[in-house]
Amino acid sequence: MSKSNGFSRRDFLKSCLVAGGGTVAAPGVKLWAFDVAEEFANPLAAYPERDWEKIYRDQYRYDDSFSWVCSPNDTHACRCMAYTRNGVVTRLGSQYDYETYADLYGNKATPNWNPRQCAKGYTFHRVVYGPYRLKYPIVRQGWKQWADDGYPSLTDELRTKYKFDARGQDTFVKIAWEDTFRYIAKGYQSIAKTYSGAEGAKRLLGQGYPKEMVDEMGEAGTRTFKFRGGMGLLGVIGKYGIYRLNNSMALLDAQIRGVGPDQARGGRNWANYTWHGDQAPGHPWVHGLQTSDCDFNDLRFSKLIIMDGKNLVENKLTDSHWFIECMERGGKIVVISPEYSPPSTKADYWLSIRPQTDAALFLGITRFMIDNKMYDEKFVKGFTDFPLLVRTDNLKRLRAAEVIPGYKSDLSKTGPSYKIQGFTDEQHEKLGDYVVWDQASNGLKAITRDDVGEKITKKGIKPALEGKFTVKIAGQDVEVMTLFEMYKVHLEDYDLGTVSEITGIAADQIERLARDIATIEPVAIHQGEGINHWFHATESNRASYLPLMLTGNIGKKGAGSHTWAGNYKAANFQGSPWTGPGFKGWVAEDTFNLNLDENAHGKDIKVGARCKGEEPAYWNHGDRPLIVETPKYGHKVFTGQTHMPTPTKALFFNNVNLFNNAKHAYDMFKNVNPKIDMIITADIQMTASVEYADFGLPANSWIEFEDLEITSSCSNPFLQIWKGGIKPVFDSKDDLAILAGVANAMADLTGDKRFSDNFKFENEGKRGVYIQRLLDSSTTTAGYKLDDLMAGKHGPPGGALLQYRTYPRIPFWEQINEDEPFHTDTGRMHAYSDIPEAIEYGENFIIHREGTEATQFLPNVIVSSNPYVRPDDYGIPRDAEHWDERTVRNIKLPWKDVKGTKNFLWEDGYRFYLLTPKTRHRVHSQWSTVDWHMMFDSNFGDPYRIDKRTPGVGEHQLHINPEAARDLGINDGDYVYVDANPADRPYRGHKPDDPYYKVARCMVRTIYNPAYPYNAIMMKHAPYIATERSVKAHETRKDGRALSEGTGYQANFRYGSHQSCTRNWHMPMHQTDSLFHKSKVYMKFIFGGEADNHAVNTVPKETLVSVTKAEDGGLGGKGIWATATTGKTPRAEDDTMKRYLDGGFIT
Amino acid sequence: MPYREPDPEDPMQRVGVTIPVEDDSSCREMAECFAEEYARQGWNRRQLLEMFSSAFYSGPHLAWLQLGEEAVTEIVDQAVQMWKPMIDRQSENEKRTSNTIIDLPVIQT
Repeated sequence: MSKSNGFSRRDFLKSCLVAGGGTVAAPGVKLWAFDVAEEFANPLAAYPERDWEKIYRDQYRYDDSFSWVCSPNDTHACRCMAYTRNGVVTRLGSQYDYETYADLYGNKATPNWNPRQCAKGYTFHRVVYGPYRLKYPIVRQGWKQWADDGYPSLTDELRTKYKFDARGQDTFVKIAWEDTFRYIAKGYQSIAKTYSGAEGAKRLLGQGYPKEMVDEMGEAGTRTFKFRGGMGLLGVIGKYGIYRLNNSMALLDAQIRGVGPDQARGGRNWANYTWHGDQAPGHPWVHGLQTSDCDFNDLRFSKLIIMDGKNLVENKLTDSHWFIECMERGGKIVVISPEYSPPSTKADYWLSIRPQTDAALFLGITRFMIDNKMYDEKFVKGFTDFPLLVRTDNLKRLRAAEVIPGYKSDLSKTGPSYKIQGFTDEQHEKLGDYVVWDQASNGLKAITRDDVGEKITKKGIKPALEGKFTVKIAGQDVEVMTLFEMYKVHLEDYDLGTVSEITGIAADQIERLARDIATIEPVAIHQGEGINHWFHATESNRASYLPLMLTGNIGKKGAGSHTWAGNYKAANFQGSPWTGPGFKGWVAEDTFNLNLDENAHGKDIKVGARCKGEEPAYWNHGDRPLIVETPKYGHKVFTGQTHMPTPTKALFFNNVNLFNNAKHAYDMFKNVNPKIDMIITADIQMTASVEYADFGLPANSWIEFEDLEITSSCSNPFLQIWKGGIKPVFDSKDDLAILAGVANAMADLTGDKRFSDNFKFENEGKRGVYIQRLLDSSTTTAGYKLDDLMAGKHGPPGGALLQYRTYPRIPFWEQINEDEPFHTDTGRMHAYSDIPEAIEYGENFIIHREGTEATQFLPNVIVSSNPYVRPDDYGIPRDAEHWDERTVRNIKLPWKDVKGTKNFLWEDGYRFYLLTPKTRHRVHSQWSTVDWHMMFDSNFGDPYRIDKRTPGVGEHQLHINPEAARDLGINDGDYVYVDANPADRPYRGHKPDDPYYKVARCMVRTIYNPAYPYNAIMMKHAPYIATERSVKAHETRKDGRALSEGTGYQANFRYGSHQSCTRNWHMPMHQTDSLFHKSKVYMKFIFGGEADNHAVNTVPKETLVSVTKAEDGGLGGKGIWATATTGKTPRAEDDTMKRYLDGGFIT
Repeated sequence: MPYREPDPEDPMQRVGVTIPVEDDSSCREMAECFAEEYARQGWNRRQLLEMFSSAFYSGPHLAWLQLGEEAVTEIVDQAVQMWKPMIDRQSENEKRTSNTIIDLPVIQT
């Protein structure tokens, strides 16, 4: 900034003196302050000028205000107030009116929900007005050249010519909105033509894509289109609307391939929840539901809350007071985590656990409870699969038709299975009914999935919980056992002593927790990202239910095992036969049969889903499914057909920093994205994803929305509809307006008006039509009228209660109180799975396995000697090191043998578990560049940037145990390199002299933190990663900031990021075709894969790393970081600090 | 309006704007502001010097690094001279209200 701007600090000081009417300089003292020779008797009377007081008192004055919803992916969706002066938002504040939210029956929310807002909600205007906004549409120069050259089919040479393989080094050019839409439409048409038909398939096979992926396309080039509405629930219309655009691409397919509506295909809808690793993937295995989560105000009813890898203090900021209320009401808090975490400070006791051994802990607790008869036998018999008989020969549940001659099921068509849950004859035929040993008749008895709770009692059946029997099947004697009996065998491997060795928790502490669970009621277990981000989260999730199944802590206030990582709950807009299509009516309305009547009821919308869900995990795995060439069977496909991905050639995502948050991000940039022909992202800010895209489309922020948007949450009962209150600051558009713009351009290009008809009411400025249809046809909102809601009839304007059965909403309330079946094949909670995949992988029982990478023992080993666990190892040797071989290799060993095994990475010096939890100062990557948050988020926040090495006014940091650091010669505050398995990270094929390797290798500041165990280090999730441009800026700018030239992207790292160390893992148990469970957004059941429901859950924590010193922490890269020399930091305490820590200042 | 780029003249601007630095005197002026601000709150000479020398106070510490101990000591001495009544009154208050000496708010180094 030059002086020609006319303003400097010196000028400022001078002008103040002039404006103040002069000053009273003291003789002999320099003129830099007032001389005070004596005290004023009355300072106020002596002040020369008091106008400043008016300014001071006036600073919070506003001339207008409006209500908006802060809707990041944190599950809260807080309605807030914005206060404006002259049309500019000057501050943001909470809205204290939650007690006014009502449903159609007059139920109202408790005022105790007030207030709801956190520091992110208070600083959002700093995002909106800040310097990092995406201000106008931009296109990558190389991509535009490719388009202007006529979209030639991309050979490797052309990909280099147009910089598809060097996106991070290309430049962006400004482009008008209409030109943007036109280019994108032509891009879609070109890509679909290139990859359609037999010629397209041949081209893809030639590029190296597996035949399974190409076959999955069905020769539709449009199947290479991938769309992702970034956590779509955060804006059902604008974000999820991208899937409606995708569905319309079937029109393009119909035109290009000349097929009818029955064969026309749109692209693939990319998942969100599972992609984030936020789902608890074990939940569908236990109860059939995507996720169990209660409203947060249910926490006050618990008497024992167990936070297992869950941080309700930092990650549920606005609603963490509910668990504090549990404490205030005399409840007990237990925290299970490797580190002494923020919630540990609130806990009655903390169990420091070895990472990823939670399943073993709960198995040990379960064994102790069974051994000591600490279980509710009636509940176990009525609601769990423990009394069901299992064949010991093939490990399948015994089916009634196998042992009862001429068996005819008495499952009623008017019972809950058919009438409420949407069970079908076809599904019943495939699954059959089940068998118990009836103690009343001393013989076998068939039970259906409706025979749960009191219903089985009314049938006069008294199921045996224990016993081994012999039955005749096809003339042969077959041994069967109750599952409970089998579990007693299974749990022999999990005595307290063994579990103590596996987990690192003292046996008496495990027993203490077991006794607490058995004697305190109600008990709730909360698992979060700390659990869900590990490869074997499935087993940890399943195991958490076992003690609750034994004690009946399900379906009642204050009880259950829940998780709320990510606002995923599209099921809040669930459809049903009695209400209509709900959410599906919006995202998957039949594009060939659109309802263009603005007065049509939501129930009249016809659904025609021509897209298919897909996990981004496949793109994140080299754009590949899980296929392994095994010694025993040769080519083996582990990805189920219901999950099978297609090649990725066009990628469009909105409201998500997809690449920044991608595991193995630098591999994506280097090895995967170069093969994608068009990447489009819509965002409000300049992100790393924009830097590596072909188009950056500026979207309006929540306070700039020009029409209505709707959201809700998985952790509270509030329906929220809102629009912005200020004009867009830049040349940005609402999300839906962007999507409609693309659709309109498609219509112009193809001549098919149905493209634009998909967004007819958006084009006409009547977005509310779509919202009313959604309200009409969803089970939780049917009956609401948009006009009433906006008039404030059910709460604040735009607010109301979702219509739940109970407030707070309690998962499985109907199952326990109304004897409805759980959403599983048996209708019961499952401690066992008999689907072929689970048996083959050795996970038919709930079991502890070591991680595929994050372990010191044999990767992926199953800890068991149970004869009823019979995994297939596919002949893969124990010393196989490839990530996919480790993924699928199933070897069973008892703990005494596991202890003697080794992980080759551990032996090579990769001896730190890298924990990457979410921070309180951002939501995923949002708020990463807000100056205050950058400073708050790390010990290296410094607005003055004394150390010019820092990338900005803050810098990301790595928490490390001081003793571990010292053993490596690392001082507090030093820069270190964090490296993972060199075979594939930071990207496949890297070489140390490759300039890109310097960009991609993680360099970060260390901070001593004694709260962490010796072998566990922590780097918070999703700061803004270093890119090629930010590194160049850091190395060439005079001030050293990592602020990209040309894009204005501000990184939080100097080099690399936490994603330098992570990779994607294709967990086989997440990819079955057989798991029977509830569909996520309709009252029906499905087998196998569904995005965000039963699909690959990414596991960023499955990472072992090494840490080596890179630079001294002191100024200029010399010596020790100054702060670490003050005597006030860990392991360098001076006498004063020691006195403080010893409580020496307390008198 | 400041919607396009940060505008140093706009008091409504939401983002910190760098004040131009033309010569070394700017750093001294800033240091003088720090010294005066805290002296007026009653901090004594020792406390002020500790603030400047402590890495926890990054702004004053930056001045300490750039100007050196001698210059900062001179600034502190002048501030103490100017605001002596405030410092004395603070000391008296501490004596009246507490028998326990706790050297806060400056963290001892």
